[in-house]
Amino acid sequence: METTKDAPSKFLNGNRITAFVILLVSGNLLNFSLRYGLFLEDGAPGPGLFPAIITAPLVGLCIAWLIIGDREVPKVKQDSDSKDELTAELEAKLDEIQEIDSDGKKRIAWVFFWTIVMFATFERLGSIISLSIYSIGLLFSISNTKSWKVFPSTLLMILLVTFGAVKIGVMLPDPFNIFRIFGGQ
Amino acid sequence: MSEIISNLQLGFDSVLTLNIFMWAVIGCGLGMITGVLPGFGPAAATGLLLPFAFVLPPTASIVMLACIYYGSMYGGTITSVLLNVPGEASSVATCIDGYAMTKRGMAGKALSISAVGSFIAGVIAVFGLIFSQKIAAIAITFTYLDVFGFSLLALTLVVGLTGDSMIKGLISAFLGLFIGMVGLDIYTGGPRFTMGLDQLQEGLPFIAIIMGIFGLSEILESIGGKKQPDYSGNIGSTLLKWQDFKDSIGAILRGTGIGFFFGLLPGSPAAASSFAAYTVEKRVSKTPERFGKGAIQGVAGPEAANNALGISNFIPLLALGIPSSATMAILLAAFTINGLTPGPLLFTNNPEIAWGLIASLALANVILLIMALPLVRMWVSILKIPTMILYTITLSFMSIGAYIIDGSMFSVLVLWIAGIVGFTLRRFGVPMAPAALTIVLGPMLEKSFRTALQVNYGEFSSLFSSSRANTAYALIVVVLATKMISSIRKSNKVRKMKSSAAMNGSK
Repeated sequence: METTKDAPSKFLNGNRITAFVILLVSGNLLNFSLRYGLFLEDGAPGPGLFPAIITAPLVGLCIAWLIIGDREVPKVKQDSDSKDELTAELEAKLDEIQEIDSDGKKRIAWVFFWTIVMFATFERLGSIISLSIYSIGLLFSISNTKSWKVFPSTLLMILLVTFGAVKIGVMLPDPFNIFRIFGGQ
Repeated sequence: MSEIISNLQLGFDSVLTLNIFMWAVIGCGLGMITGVLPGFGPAAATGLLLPFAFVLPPTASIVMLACIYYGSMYGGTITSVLLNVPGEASSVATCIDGYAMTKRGMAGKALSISAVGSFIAGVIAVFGLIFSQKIAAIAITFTYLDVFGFSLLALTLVVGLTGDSMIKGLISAFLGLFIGMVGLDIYTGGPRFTMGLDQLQEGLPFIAIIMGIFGLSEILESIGGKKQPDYSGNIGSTLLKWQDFKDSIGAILRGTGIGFFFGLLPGSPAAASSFAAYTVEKRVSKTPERFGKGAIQGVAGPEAANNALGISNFIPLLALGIPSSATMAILLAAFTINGLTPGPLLFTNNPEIAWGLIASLALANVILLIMALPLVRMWVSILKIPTMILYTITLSFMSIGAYIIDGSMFSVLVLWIAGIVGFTLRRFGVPMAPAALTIVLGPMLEKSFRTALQVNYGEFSSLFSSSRANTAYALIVVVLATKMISSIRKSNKVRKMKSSAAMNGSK
């Protein structure tokens, strides 16, 4: 079971890993920028100059994050003395990191799963069939509602949007010519 | 004066066609719906619906997106008042007395006064917006060097959006700047950071990125979150009495002035204006003890400030081409998609769009007042739909939206990568608003920087040869110094609080 003591240490570890990943990426980008050339032969700025100006401070900031990040803790009400309690509570509400429990993680995992399915089917099966599978899959996995009213109405909504998109000239994949039913091409 | 009237007439002529009017109504409606989604603010709503800019003609898409933005501000008020869930920082002040009114069975009245307050503030602010043409007339004489100076100033003001951690805010800003660098180099034509992918030669699809870092990351956060708010109560009467109006009009006018002023300052946090309006109302009130317990002025003032700020935010965009908030950066993207350049030349080259936008904001005020007052129960009923169903539908729409950017799954992939990166960074306290601004500002900054250096053979001292640019640099120094001093003060305060807490604990 996750204790409240674990949360700050998890946050700090995540903080360090995120800072380190961005540091690696920005270091690599700085290297690329330098390779593109800072100046052209005539002394004019080269293609790498501006990216180098951007990525060099990014590297520095990531190092600072790695160092200072250790002192950070997840959002708590720290400056409530200057405001009344209600205002401080609402400000904290905006900034606080919403806790994601195991159910929440499962829901996010389901979203990723069905998104991969959608990626695999969108162009092969067409937008209508693919998005219908996607929506039904998501509704079954992340929504508690099992009402059979919800599925037809959600599907109807997707059909209407797809129909509207086709009508205003949006090209969506349709290998089985389903759009012809709606008067599309 | 006659010039302004004839320009406004041009604007209304281009907007009051059946076609554009219809898109304005649809935009307001879509904005209301997305604004009503719990936790969704105007930036997420506008980012989510940005792909409309691809499929509609320029005037229709700009008017529609402006109406979506404006509508989502109205819609966001509903969740702030009924659920105590602000869609964005600027709605937090509304929550305080709005939610207190809901608890006292006066939700309908709170929603009505926020709609009326927003309408009055919106109408007054639109009059102020007319004068952006005057600022544009000055900005038209700007050289590349001046543009560089002022773009850099706008970038520095982004520090105001960085939240509590300046380092994380700056990381977000620099990451956004970098995203704008991907693609073919503007001068040499050579590919930069494209990793050999043809799709990246034209740069990263920033619309998919904005949809991802704002809309998708917000949805993932909400899907994973514990609380899934919905509203099942009754909002009560929405009718305002004359006394309510009399009690609120002062707050509305003061809020309008405060919001309008804050909106002119690029990078000023939107929450600051509504908090300032709330604080002013509490100070001038003869019964300050009623604040926090459902004072109608506590809703009217911040809402008026919020709406006036929403409109005056357009002034730096229309006059200078510099977005002052994340939402304005998204609207700037909509202009770019349609081959338009907001800024001083917009009033000269595309007056029908510049004045059409101003007219559409006036029109949106009327449409939204009608939508918000008699139809308020309809929007509230959206809150009765389980949020997971709304998110499922939104995720499907987002996929269609990203697909239409370039007619391939590449943009959908970029959307999801940006969404996951945005979601991860937000969980570690990295704000996303600076990135949205710098994604748009980056290419502009690079172009002006390199052109200014190019004409002076790479001589860096030439960057200081313009008095206007030097003024911008001086302001940059002031802004950075102020932010650093306030950060140091804040960290000292936290340290003191921690040490006193530790001392108390050891006793």
